[in-house]
Amino acid sequence: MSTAAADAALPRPARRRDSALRRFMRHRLAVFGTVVIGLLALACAVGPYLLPFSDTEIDIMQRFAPPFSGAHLLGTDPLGRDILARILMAGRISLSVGFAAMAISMVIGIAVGLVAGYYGGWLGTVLMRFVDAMLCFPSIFLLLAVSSLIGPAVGSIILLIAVTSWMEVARIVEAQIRALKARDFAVAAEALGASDARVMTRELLPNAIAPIVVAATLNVAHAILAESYISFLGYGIQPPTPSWGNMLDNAQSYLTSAPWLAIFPGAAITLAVTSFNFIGDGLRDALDPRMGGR
Amino acid sequence: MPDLPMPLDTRPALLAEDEVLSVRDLSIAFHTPAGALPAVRDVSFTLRRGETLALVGESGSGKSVTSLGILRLTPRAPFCRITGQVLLRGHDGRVRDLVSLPEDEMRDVRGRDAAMVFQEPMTSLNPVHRVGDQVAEAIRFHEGLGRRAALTKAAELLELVGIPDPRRRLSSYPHEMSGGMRQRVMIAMALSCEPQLLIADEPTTALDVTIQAQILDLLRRLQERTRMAVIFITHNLGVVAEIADRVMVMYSGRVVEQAPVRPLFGAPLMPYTRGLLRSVPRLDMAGRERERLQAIPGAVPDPLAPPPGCSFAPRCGHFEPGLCDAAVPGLDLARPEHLVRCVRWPELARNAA
Amino acid sequence: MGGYVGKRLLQAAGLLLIVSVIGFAILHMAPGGPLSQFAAGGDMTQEDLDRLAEQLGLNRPLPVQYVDWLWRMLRGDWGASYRDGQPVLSVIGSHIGATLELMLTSTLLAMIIGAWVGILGAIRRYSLFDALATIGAMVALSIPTFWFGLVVIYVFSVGLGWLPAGNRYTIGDESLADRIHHLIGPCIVLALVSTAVWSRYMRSSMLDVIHQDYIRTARSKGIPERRILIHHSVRNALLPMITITGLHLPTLLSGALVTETVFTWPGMGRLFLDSISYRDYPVVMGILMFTAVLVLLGSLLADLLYHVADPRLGAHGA
Repeated sequence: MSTAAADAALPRPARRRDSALRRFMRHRLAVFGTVVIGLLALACAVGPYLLPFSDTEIDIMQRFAPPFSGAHLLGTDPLGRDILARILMAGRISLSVGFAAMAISMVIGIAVGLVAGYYGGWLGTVLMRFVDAMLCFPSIFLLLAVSSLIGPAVGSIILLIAVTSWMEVARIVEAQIRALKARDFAVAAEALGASDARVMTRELLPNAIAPIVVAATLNVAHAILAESYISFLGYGIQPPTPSWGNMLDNAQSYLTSAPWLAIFPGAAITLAVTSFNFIGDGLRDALDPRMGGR
Repeated sequence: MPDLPMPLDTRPALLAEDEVLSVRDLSIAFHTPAGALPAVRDVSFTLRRGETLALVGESGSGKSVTSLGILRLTPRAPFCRITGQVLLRGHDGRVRDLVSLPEDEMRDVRGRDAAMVFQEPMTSLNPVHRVGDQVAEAIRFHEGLGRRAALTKAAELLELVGIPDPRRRLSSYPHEMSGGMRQRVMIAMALSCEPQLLIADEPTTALDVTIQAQILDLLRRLQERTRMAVIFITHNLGVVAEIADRVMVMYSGRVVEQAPVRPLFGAPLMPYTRGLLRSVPRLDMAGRERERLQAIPGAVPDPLAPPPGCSFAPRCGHFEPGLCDAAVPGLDLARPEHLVRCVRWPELARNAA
Repeated sequence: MGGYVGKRLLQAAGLLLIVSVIGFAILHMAPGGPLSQFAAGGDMTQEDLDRLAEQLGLNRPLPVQYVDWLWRMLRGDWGASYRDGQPVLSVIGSHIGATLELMLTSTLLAMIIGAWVGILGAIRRYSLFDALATIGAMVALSIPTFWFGLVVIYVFSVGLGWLPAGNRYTIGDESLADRIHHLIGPCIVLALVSTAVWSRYMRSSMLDVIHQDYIRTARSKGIPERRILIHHSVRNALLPMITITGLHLPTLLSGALVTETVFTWPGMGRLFLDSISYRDYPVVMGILMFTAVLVLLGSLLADLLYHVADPRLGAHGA
């Protein structure tokens, strides 16, 4: 309804005074996500020191111990290693890979988006067409193809995930910068003789921060998922280093006899990724009310 | 027996023979997070066959909500509450109270007994359906005609509203037509079932001045032909002078003045109406007079926190403390057929004379 | 219309060129370049390798090699599999059917459920159903497909014994019923993410539409609510979903690869993984290029379809 009815029905003067933090706190799922990630990170950081088992301790007598029935809370794997200890150690790897890959992909994405959005013209066109072309490759295919060519070290996995997931960020930043550039303050700063780099980083980027923060959060979720996919398929983090994905690598063969091998690591991935997605959603509502409400 | 109050819904639902519509104490309130928001308060008026009533006011005055509320096109029950009576004479001669009518019977009234034309011809037609199908849709539902027969009637209607080559135009899409043509389509659609009442919500506001004149002319011609009653909502007093028989001025959800068009323009009683009239340029104004054109200072009050007393008081040049802000003034019958809501009107009328 | 199609085709061709450059670059990242499999084999001396490189023109400047490679690709000469010497395109051709079968059925399933959930969520906005659907979609987007596949196998194959745990059909039984029986599990697994995507976009598209003026117009005509919903709201809200379906294609392909792996479904995704483990680079690179071209053509098709379906753009063109 675009008439006076809507105008008259919807003045909410109280809303304008809300801070971003208060809006975020009202988003119950986002708060839930933050708490879960906090607890998960804490457990992965200190948990391994508190458990009576190490993640590498092989105990042939205790192979396939079922969960919740003895010393091993979440049971043991085919080598008798404690699943809980492995999940916590794997969490360190998976979460770190997620954050590191996000950080690198943000740097690439922001740089490309800034340059393309600020300079525009043929340079912007070429860069954005390159982004379009990269997005034509389905991510798992690209990840697997390249990971089969390079060594499967943790560092190269991080780099690989980053290199295949910066494009959305570049698009978001480019669109924001192009819109912002047309507005007065960028023109004013330019007229005052500020350098291009200064206008970009001091005037334009801070004004595009809201969608960037949201994209960063969602990118962590994406990176954790990507790592789990390629590790599950055997081209990611290599055993004996545990990751949530490679813990599931052999789980399918034991699905009948030891389903807990599959259930717990998968639940950890789902919990972490869901939490980051919830946080991203809450941040979107909190930082940019215009984008929210849908 | 005599001390029993009469239950509300047994009030006689009667209209005089030539009356089409009678709105009695119509109030519409929206439910918002900040509390109930009264958009329309105690609006009453009647409309005779062939008569045109202009509803005038700034945006936010409640004029559009009133028109939507008559057909219950405002949001549904928990979000919006409608009270009072809206008595409408249907095509079968029966009088119904639209406020208490069940939803499925209400659907039979909409588009058949009472139809609406909206402000934005650009967005009021569905972009993915052909114009012919959209005009024919109501005919098919209300008159039970088949698609072909309904389309034939739709073509006649398009011709009636002055669209050239109507048969071919049936298969056009809205985006292929100009704004004026689309508004003609909207009018054809509204007239498709020969309604007793046409509500036109700012039908010419979005159009060019020359097109505006054509559309007004069309509406007048059609009204002469069908003898339908018209509620014409506008903020343009020039249009009012051209088309209306009577004028109802609304401010902040209330009727503040109601009169036939001549006395209202000739001797307005409410300071708000005078302000409105002063803010309109007129062709007969000489150069110096033109310069005295003035907008009313201030803005429409916040409906959630209305000022005490007369809601126009904070913007009124004749505001008198202790008098105007004491209580909401009643609607006085100042002269025959001339209602005004202002405690100082007798005084002001004397001074003006 | 014609002008738009021409412009869009030209754009797609330009994009294809950039895609091919990226593909070529990845091909040359392989250790030892396109000859790595011979080097890895170990039964060739460095001299043999050099001679082979010269024969294949690998000592020419890269741009020349690229043009040559592109020309061969365009003619349909995508090289031969190291494993059995078959042309790459025919190897892909013999596996694409299974993948398309899986992708199409799961997309259909996702459209039906997702659209329904989205529509209901929009017309009952902020209801309990809407809240649960929103949370459900977020969780569905966060579940790793392979894990969901394992859960489905565990519950329906291991536990209940209702569904086969993998493969496209029982050997010796080629009946349609048997094929459908095998399709159910992977179809549900692949449809999960698409359903979530459809429900989210359909909801927001519906919310856009039901607040439009023309819905109020339809209501003012006294049209029954049901007809307004189907004929005016859903009809219009479905239009942008054409674009969404096109944009979703890369995710769908990735999901298909994982689903095929879990359910040992003999499609292109499994072929890709097998080829990687055999270091069959011509097939790996061939499939990589093939999927990129598929995505490109998919989004081109979606755009053209949108222009046909939306009268504002179709008949008279923008």
